[in-house]
Amino acid sequence: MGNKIKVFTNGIIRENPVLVLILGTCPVLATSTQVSSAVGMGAAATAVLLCSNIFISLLRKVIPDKVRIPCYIVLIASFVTIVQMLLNAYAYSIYDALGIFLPLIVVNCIILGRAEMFASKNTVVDSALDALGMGLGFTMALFVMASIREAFGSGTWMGMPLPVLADNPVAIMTMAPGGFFVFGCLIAFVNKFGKYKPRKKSFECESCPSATFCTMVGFGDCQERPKEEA
Amino acid sequence: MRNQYVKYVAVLGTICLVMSLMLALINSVTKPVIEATEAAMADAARTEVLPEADGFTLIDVELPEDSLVTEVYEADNGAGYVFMITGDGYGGRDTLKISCGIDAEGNIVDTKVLSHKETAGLGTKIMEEEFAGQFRGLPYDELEDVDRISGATISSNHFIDEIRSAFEAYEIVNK
Amino acid sequence: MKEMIVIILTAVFVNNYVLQQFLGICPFLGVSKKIGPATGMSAAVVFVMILATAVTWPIQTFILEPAGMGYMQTVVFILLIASVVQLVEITLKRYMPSLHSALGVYLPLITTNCAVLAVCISNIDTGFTFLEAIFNALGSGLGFFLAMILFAGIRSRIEECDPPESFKGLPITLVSAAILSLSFFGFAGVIENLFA
Repeated sequence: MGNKIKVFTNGIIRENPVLVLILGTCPVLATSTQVSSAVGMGAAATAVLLCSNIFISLLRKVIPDKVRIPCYIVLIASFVTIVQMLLNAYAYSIYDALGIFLPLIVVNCIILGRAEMFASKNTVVDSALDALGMGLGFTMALFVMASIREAFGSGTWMGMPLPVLADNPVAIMTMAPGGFFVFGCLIAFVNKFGKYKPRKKSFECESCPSATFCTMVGFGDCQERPKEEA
Repeated sequence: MRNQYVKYVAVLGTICLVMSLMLALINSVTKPVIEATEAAMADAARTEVLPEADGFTLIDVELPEDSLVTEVYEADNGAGYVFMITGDGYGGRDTLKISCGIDAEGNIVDTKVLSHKETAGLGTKIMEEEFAGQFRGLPYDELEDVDRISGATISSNHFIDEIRSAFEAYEIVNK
Repeated sequence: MKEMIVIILTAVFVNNYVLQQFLGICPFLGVSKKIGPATGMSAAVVFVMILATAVTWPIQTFILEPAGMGYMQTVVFILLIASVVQLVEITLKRYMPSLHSALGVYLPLITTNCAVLAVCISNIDTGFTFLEAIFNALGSGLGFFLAMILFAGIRSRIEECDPPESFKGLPITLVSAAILSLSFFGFAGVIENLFA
């Protein structure tokens, strides 16, 4: 039982996909201008991650190793489309707010990364717990970042006006530079106060979406591939 | 060796097929809902700028080639027309979409920005009451007297250009 | 022609994929440490973006939409992009080994680059014609190129500076990206009035 809890909490704190593993940066930066769209993004990505982890874990003995990546991509893309259709039909405001970043969940590194690193090797229950933990970690990071950006940038939180801040909004926080800046500061904060080993290196191979089939993994820094043997 | 390839293709093909069927199924369920919501939202967006209308019909109008108006809706009870306008904004070509309701007397009832890419805090002031409120009840010949927003003159001018286009289209439909 | 130039310039400067729209952040942070790999990666992105648009646009317009299967867009596009990348890699390896050694290593990285899928989808969403879509892909790719080259230059300076301990590495890189992104605000509104 303790083991199961560990699988679940792993993604929330110790291996938080956004703040510690630095995965899925694009949606984090883009959808964190408002708390409501950030939570929508987190929920949509969690739903896709949960479905894909469960199915990939179920099929892990059926899918041949050589064609696993195309299989994963088809499964993930299908779940993304399903979430897209459901949101369009039943939650139009979220669908509208997420825009192009909704179909782009397909290429979110967290989902393919978890499929490759966890779901393809573990049981269904563990994979589902892992997906929930990772999804929650992703959503929480988005939530924190969106709270900061919305509070300072628009002077509101979940659409509610905040005292003082509402009269002095710093509009730049909701724009692109604010996204980079707040994200940089959050990671610095985690580095400073995080109990776990801070990430000294700037960017590592495992946080790359293509790590699963990149020929340069392990050589670090996407440098030229060492000469192939003849 | 060959057997392996058959297996690869079979597995990938089955997954593709099953998922496609699933998507088709879900699509058949959600499609009517999506269409209904979109129609209701579009109707609500028109009612907002022309509240007196009880329903709208899309009408076919010969507009000049450089007109920014994309669609003209006539109120079923003759309350006026709603114009859908797409034009340039500060954030790029064809990025500022607005709707504008004009009543039977030729005065603006209300305007609404549907989508935009204006600079937050500056260009976005075109949506604030201080600027947008000026258009309510405005006839064509007073359009040029509207106050531009200081610091966002280009956004204001684009907005006014689009309203002018609506008035021009109004002259054509109301002939 | 004027239209096409406006589309390209808008995509490069005003709607820069990396700095204004947050697309393709992973390679932007991952491969921008040195100017050499940054150039190779960006060239590969430009190439794949144009090719992917050239393949996905006709398929969406002439096959998916007439068949009422617009909802299959995401699935079909990502598979097409993956296949295109694979094909390009094989072709280059076979017939243009010199180009392959320059770009080939970056090709597999591009399959899951969100900027490529984004350019294909937004070309459809904006309702571009085929030619406009190709030019938009070119502009978006060049915008990525510009951002990468600029940032590679900035990063070589960052490496030499001495920020507070907790800001070392990624945080200071992101903060400088914020400043670079801020500088691109200067282009807003310029392109529209360039030809007015």
